[in-house]
Amino acid sequence: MTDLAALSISAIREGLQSRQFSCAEVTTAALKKAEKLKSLNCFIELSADSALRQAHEIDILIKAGKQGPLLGVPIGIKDVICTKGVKTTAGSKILHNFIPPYDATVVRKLLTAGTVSIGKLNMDEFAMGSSNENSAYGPVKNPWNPEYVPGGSSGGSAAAVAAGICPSTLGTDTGGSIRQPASFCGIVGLKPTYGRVSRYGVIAYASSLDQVGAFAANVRDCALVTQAICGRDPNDATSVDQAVPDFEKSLGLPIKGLRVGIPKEYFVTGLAGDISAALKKAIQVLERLGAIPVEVSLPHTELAVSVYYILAPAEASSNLARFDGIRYGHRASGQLDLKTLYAKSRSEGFGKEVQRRILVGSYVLSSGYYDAFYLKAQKVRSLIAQDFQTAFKDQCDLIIAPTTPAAPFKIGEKISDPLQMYLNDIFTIPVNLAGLPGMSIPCGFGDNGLPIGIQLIGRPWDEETLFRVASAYESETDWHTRKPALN
Amino acid sequence: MISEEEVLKLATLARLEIEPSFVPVITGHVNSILQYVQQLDKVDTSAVAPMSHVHGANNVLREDRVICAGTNPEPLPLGDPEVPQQEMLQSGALLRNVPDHSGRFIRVPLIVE
Repeated sequence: MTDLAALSISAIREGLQSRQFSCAEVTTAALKKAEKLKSLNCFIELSADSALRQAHEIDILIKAGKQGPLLGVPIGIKDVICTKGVKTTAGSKILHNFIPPYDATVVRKLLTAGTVSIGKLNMDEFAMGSSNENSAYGPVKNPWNPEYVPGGSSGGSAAAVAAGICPSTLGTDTGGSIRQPASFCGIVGLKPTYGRVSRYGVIAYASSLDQVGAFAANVRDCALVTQAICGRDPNDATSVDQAVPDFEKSLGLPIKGLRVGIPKEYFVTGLAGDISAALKKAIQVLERLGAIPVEVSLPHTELAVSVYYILAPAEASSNLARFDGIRYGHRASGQLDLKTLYAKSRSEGFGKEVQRRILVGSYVLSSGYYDAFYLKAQKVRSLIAQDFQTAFKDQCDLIIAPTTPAAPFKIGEKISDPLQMYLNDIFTIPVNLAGLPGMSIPCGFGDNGLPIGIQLIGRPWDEETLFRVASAYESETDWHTRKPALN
Repeated sequence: MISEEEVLKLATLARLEIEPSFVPVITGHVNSILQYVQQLDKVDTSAVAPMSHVHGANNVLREDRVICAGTNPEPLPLGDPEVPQQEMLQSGALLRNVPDHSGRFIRVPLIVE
């Protein structure tokens, strides 16, 4: 019997329109699979009742002749994105009881498109982490091997798609939190250009870097969901009024003559042999399709992690000041004076990594250190952005790079050394600092048998080229068809 | 380098209470991070402008208006046609998240004797 939960979006659309199955059946299949695979810990909360109610409503619409690219498609939402009336924790104990009074714009858009949200996905607390081990609700396990991390911070979003629970999920990416877990779980994940997607209703981590994007098991599904969430939103002043092209039209276009930049700095120390070999093979595939590999230089790459771990904690320490136990979230109990109430509520509510980043952020913003750390990092951020501008100006049309320096690691392997964990984001962070679109697509398996991905980086607003190259690569390879063996 | 005392002072300013047994550990972590990011010192940025934002966004200002009023913690009927539905947060839904409230008022510790 067909596993309805593992169908692609296109297959769901076809099945619904031809009445092979109903939206209620697809939704039930997704919910059942999520229950069956509970040990992966993908979801913080499943919304079975509301999902089924919604599915029945959609079945009525379908019977009445309504159509749409995402109509009746089950999806999951990262728990940092506000859902009206549905608990939203951001993976933190401090928001264990928070019920948003409104939907994030991306959620509203997906609901309008007729998708069915089956639940809220596990994540590193406040999106701070690269392994999902920082969740207050327990780590997510990699569907390919439960001893390994699924990546982070959108680990639940990636694992749910890789496990075939639902065809697409939403995540957020501040320093690689969509692309790295997509790579670790062997699926497709796109971080759109900064400003492409509204952040309204997304609990902020580092506002100048955060962006929402879609995970999917294949490039077309990723394009369909990305299409639905893009566009200027009057409720987010950082979203940009930029025309949104039809991404599906980019799929299947030839890539002959496209110049693919290969940054020489990404092949130096620290890049694992299996990653380097997989990347070289992927470049050969693109070359066979007529793309022209060119060497480019991004000389400030090695500084990106430093810049990020000054700017992101600085923004986080400001953003997280709002969690004070007064208006929402956890409040410490007892007769306490105001300062103690703040301190106790925050310390009981925030996990260790969040506290660490608040401290680092407060330090680099404090008078006496502001110029040396924060201002310096903002200046080097300019240099990193300029590296990309130079490469894209007249040398290449897109950049291909590893998504991560190494294949997935085991749960517990890196958690005691924050700096080692941070260095895992070396190839994804520069893209956020420059505000560019970046996509990870599966390109093979590491020596440990876990998936690895390649990253495609585009000019600002040029997601089309990423979709075009990704679909060309996908049509020549079968990595996206490999699925983990789940019991 | 930052000392354990400085970490504790910083924590107080950031309204955090660090568990005593964790103070040496987190001080070590913060120090290794601060030491690592000092690699930026070797870059000459004397002629570089700081970048705070990708698109150089500007503030969007609007008049601060009360669009939701009433004494009932239940959702209230609202009718300002100029305000998009999305912006109208109802006080009942907001108050449901308040850890301690009395009617429409949030209860806080005594601030002024």
